Amino acid sequence: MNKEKVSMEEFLKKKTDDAEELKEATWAGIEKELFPKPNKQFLWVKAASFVAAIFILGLSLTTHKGQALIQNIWDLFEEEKTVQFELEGQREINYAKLNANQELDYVIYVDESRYRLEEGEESDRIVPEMELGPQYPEVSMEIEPVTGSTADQEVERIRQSLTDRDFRIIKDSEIVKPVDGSIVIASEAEAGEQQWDSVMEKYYVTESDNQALFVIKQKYFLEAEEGHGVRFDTMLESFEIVDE
Amino acid sequence: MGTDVERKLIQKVKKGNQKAFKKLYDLYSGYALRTAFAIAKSEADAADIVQETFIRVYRSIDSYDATKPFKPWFYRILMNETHRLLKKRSDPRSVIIDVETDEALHPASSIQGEYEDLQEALDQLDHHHKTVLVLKYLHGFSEKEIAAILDENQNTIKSRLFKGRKKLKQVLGAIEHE
Repeated sequence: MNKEKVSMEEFLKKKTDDAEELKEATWAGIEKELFPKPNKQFLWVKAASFVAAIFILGLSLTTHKGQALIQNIWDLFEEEKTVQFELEGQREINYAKLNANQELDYVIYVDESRYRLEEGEESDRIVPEMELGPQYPEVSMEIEPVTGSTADQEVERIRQSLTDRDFRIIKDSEIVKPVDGSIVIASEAEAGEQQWDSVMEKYYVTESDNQALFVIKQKYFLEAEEGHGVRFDTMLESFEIVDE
Repeated sequence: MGTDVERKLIQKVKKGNQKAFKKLYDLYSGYALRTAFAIAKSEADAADIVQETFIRVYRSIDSYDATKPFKPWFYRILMNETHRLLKKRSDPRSVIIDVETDEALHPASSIQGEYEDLQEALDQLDHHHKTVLVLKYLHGFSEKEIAAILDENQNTIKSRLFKGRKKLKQVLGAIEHE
């Protein structure tokens, strides 16, 4: 059977060699269908009405650099996408909108039916659209670019900070989902002493291939773990560092 | 391609990253085009099939379960698109090479005698047997993988491979005795 196998493989490969030459033309068709290039004027209209206009504020719209960056972002990411949440066995589908920070070095799709992105000086925060009552601990997801440090150093800093504040580390490991990197989860309560409103903190440390480092910190309470905790993680799956 | 690299790439595609999708295209399009061409026998059809396949992949990437291998999932879409296009054309072209067309494009010098016999044998097979052989020999898919791609029972695939190979063996045996 070896001769047959070798002959068949050789035959099929030889007879289909020319098909490889169709790669570029085929890609052009795909690109045209999936990523049609809007004209510049349309881009400006889109950008002006776009919820994530926050990132435009940080740019000089009249500079070539600013225009190039906007073009780049639009080329890379869709404005809106469907996000499927799996909450306590129930599936829920929502539309999430593209958001980006001022420096355009990350993007995330935010479920704006429930959350909003607040822009800060050094970090951005995603918080519930409807304010929770005063009886509830803080619920937020903070996205912070970090410079002058390594991923390992950041994880160690987080561990130290939690220990200093008497938090109990529940999980400390490497993960690939929702982001590729490290996770540290901690609770303010001792094991067996947790209450519905026990504060939880979850950290992700992730970096791009170009070593752009981000720390993502989620704050919620025990009872919100399956709600806000899951929603944050689902949105975080769309998180991407844009540093190319 | 390492599974780790592939996993990261697909994770980026799931996030809507166009550059990652292009990289995925670069990795998979070559053999996808070969497969489509082998079955559809037309370069234009092969390009259409692969184009539709990648558009479908991009639009349904969220439904891909990242805990499972990507390749069989991808090829299942490719085979569905191939069959859909051939059905649409109502032209149950069997597989591989249309001898007359091929020889017109590539004069006889490029076809060795052994290949001509192999081609003749393949032309005697029906569509199902030829598809299975292409997946087996062009890609090296296992019977289990082919069964998953074609959504068939593994025994059915085993049987199709057996029958297909039997005919090929007869031809190859004849060559050896010439």
